[in-house]
Amino acid sequence: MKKINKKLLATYLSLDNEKANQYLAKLADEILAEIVASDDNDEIFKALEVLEEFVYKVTTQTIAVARYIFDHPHQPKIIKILDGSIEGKRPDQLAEKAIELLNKIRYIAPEEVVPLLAERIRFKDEKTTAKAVEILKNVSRYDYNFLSKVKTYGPQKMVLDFVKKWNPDEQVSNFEFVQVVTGELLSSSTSGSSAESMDTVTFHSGAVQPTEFLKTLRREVMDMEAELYRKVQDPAQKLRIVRVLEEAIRGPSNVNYGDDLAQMLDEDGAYLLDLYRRMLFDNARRLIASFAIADEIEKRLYWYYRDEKRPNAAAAQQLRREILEDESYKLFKLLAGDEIVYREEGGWDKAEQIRKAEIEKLIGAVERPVEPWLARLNKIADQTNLIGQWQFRFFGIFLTKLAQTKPAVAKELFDRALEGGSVKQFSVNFLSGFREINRLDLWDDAVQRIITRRDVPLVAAIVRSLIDERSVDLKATIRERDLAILKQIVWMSGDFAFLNEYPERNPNLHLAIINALMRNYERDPAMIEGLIVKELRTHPEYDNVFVHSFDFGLLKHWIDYSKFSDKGIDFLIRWLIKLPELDWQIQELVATLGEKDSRILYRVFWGRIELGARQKQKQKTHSIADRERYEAVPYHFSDGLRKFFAQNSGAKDIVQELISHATTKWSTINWDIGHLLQRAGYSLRQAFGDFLNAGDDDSLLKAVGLMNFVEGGELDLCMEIAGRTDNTRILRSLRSLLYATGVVSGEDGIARAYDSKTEAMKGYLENTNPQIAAFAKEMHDSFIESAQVERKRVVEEQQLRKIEFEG
Amino acid sequence: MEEAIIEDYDDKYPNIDGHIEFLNDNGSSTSVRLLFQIKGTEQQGLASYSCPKDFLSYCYISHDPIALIFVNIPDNKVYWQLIDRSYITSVLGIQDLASFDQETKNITFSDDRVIDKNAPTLLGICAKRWAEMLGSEEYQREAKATMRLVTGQEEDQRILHNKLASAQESATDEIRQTKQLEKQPIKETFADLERKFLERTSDLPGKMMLYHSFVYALRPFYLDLRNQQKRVKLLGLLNITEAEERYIVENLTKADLLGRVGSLIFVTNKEQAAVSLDHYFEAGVIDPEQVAELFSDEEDQ
Repeated sequence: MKKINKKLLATYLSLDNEKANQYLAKLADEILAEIVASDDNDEIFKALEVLEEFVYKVTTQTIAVARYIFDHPHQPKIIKILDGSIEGKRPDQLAEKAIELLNKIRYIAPEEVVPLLAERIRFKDEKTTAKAVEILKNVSRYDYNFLSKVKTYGPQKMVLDFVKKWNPDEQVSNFEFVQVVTGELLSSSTSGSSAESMDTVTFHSGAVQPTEFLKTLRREVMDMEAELYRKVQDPAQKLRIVRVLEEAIRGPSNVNYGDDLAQMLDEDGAYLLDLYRRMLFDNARRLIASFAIADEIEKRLYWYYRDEKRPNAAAAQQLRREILEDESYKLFKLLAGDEIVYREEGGWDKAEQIRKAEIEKLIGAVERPVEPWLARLNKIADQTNLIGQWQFRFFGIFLTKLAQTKPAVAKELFDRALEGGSVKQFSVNFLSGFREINRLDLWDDAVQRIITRRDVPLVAAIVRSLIDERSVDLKATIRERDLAILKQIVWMSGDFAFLNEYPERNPNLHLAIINALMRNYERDPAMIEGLIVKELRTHPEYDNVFVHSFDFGLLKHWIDYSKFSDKGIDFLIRWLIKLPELDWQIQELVATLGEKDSRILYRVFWGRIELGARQKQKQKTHSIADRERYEAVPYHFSDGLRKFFAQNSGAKDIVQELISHATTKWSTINWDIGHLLQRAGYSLRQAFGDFLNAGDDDSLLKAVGLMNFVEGGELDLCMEIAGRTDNTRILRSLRSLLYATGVVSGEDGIARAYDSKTEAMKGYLENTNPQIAAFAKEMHDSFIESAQVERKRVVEEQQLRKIEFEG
Repeated sequence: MEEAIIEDYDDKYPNIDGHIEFLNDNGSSTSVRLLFQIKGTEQQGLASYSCPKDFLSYCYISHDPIALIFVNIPDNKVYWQLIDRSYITSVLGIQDLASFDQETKNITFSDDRVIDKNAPTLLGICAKRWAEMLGSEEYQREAKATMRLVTGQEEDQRILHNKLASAQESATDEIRQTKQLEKQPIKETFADLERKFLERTSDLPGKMMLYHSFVYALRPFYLDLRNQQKRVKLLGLLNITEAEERYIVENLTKADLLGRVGSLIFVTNKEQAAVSLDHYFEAGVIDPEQVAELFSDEEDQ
């Protein structure tokens, strides 16, 4: 690809000189031709970066380039590097870059940019769609800078006209595009940022000017959305439209606004209330909208029109009353209504009391035949995909209490629910309810029905119903039969052999299993230990799930891993070694095991360090992106682990044994051991005592190799080593260690760090050991020089930013 | 005059690298010498030298003519320029070296002063100087002969003296006129040089403005090794030497048109730089495409 000085192009762009413009146009043509001729994504990406510098002058070519990039994806190339290979630019990265270029010409060539964005959004590629949506928002939003200078709603009108040219079917197939545009066009806020100096950015928020043009535009948008609402069938799409329309009554954020804008919002509010009514009810005033939509509108009416003095408040409150009066909605509101609305209407405790009382009343009303009840409950449970799962807390409470209060009716309801419908997903509430009142006969029958139906998703409900979080006597509540069921589920055998036929991932089931095993550990430690080992060994794909559950089990004091058998401990050590990382939660498990036997902790860490070194060696030829992530020693140590190294009597032996593995050559082993010492807060001087006492170059080299090159070594220790040798390799390493600054802050942070190091070196200049004094002098002078060079670099950088600054 | 002997001085003399001694037709020495100092460059296209003031002072007081020989190695060219009082005062414009406060002065070489291609021009100048000296000796011989004819006769001696004086005056006139005639070609060359020099120096403000524009267009612009390649290209494009660049930077900085931080130089007003560049593009002095091509290497980025 053609190499070009980008700053020069930026300068040409700023000139607006005819000859320079001609050259830029010619260059853009050449870039387009090169992109067409190339199948190398990395080269094409570079060409896009060049084009980016002067994209404003060459919109035609930019559109053509973007179009070509979208239509002609190339496979990324594999780039060989010293230590393996990496993957080059992917097609989606090129597409994202092309969309960025379109963003830069969105106001210059909106007619060409907008259709391309629509196409990308329809394309539904996760990354490029998200990028295209972001740019579409930029096109549609009321931009502070644009409105300050151009003072028209031209871009908004253009985008709306573009959408309105689509017929209803096209609008449905471009649903996402339409919603993004609508949301922006109905906004009453303007926003943008400006920079008055190179070090400051001002974020501006303001309000739109409610001109007649804007008022007409907003009405057009609302009408279009109402029409689309009637057209779409998907409840989720309908809900989305309702939510987008809410923007029409929302005032500008963080800004006071005038009466004229308030009036516009009030007029649009009245108009929206009318639209809402038509969405919610039919001509016979029956609720036709889904509960999710009614819930959304009802909540919105509540929040916006609590103040009765607010314009439209009376009409809004009337509409809300009509929603609340609907019998089916009343049931929905009780079982899955927003808790916050309940709380606001009378306080949290009171709301909880009222709701529970109403649920008790409802349970009293539930009688046979169960079918009508099931239909009503299914209609509510159908909304789980549309509204937050957390809103269904009382729905679950209702079913559990129903199972406890009216177990026979509940069992019948459950049996019917198994045949189909959304209530089925709340099976755990039935099962838990039966167990809590000790109606294990109903529980057994329910389990048998699940087995008979080979209903894999409901197996998790069986397992979860065995996690009794109350303080109970496990021997009394968990039968041998229950343990046998757990065992069959873990082994996927017997009645539960059908689990083997389910190929899809089922993290819910395995989360339930590991928690149930931990919860019931004390019921039969030996057996449960075996099941835990089996579960961990069989399903490494759920290691993440298990790691987090272990911590929960420890926290709840459900399980004591240190009571595991030697065989179980051996397995846990192997499992801990192969985990890609030891995150905070699992470190507590390691520390717990270490408290039982410090050798366990040594075996875990040395095993991980060794495995890390082996993996690095083995994966040398892999692409960096393809390499398995493995962090032998965690970056952050948990309190428990730090406490172990600080207080445990076995810690010293562990440290010395780990250090004995240090090598004179550079190795990840040295790195990891050194890192462990630092993270554990272990004194390096104490750790390296043997090396220092030996004093030979090999020992000193090992000590230096164990110090962390990122965060530097202990100064005094470094100087002591410098005083004991004239080995150039050791001294070179020491220089590197002393130069490490770690994390610094501020533009001249590195220079200040060098100043501190210069000061620190002064303490050694008069050292009685001439080798230390000479080394200190060398480093002292070097730090002074480095600080000067760094300061020069900083002022140059600052000046460069000033030059490039465009206010 | 047939040939010349060229003798190299090694480093025995501070300002002189050697001399050229001119020979008679019969091969004997004319005792006329042209001293020279040799300087060289490896920079392609460079035809100027930043000459130290000390050397100019030496040339000014020297009785022997001194030439500055400038060798451009990559161009395979050897330029020469006679540095004498008139060159220093007229061409270089230095009326008083004692009060001249610059350390160096730029000397620009011309393509019509290149050895090999126009060695006859150099030899011609040497021959003219020889002829001047020879004419003066003939006059002395004629005078002595005339004196011998009038010995013992006072009146005649007076008449002869007058005649001699008249002849002497006449000879002096002739010699002066001859000298004037002899110098005419040199004057023409000098006039030519002067015109060219003025042309070139009249470009200097323009080059300064261009340099100023390019400091902006090619930002970041460092005066150290980070920008070596970019700067060399710019000097070539503007046809200026490093010494001229220093002069330009110094003057632009004094005029507050350029700023400097560390090794970074920058324009103090980028709109001014853009106006200049726009003008030079429009006037066709530089071509945007050629400039882009010239500074297209990675190192220029």
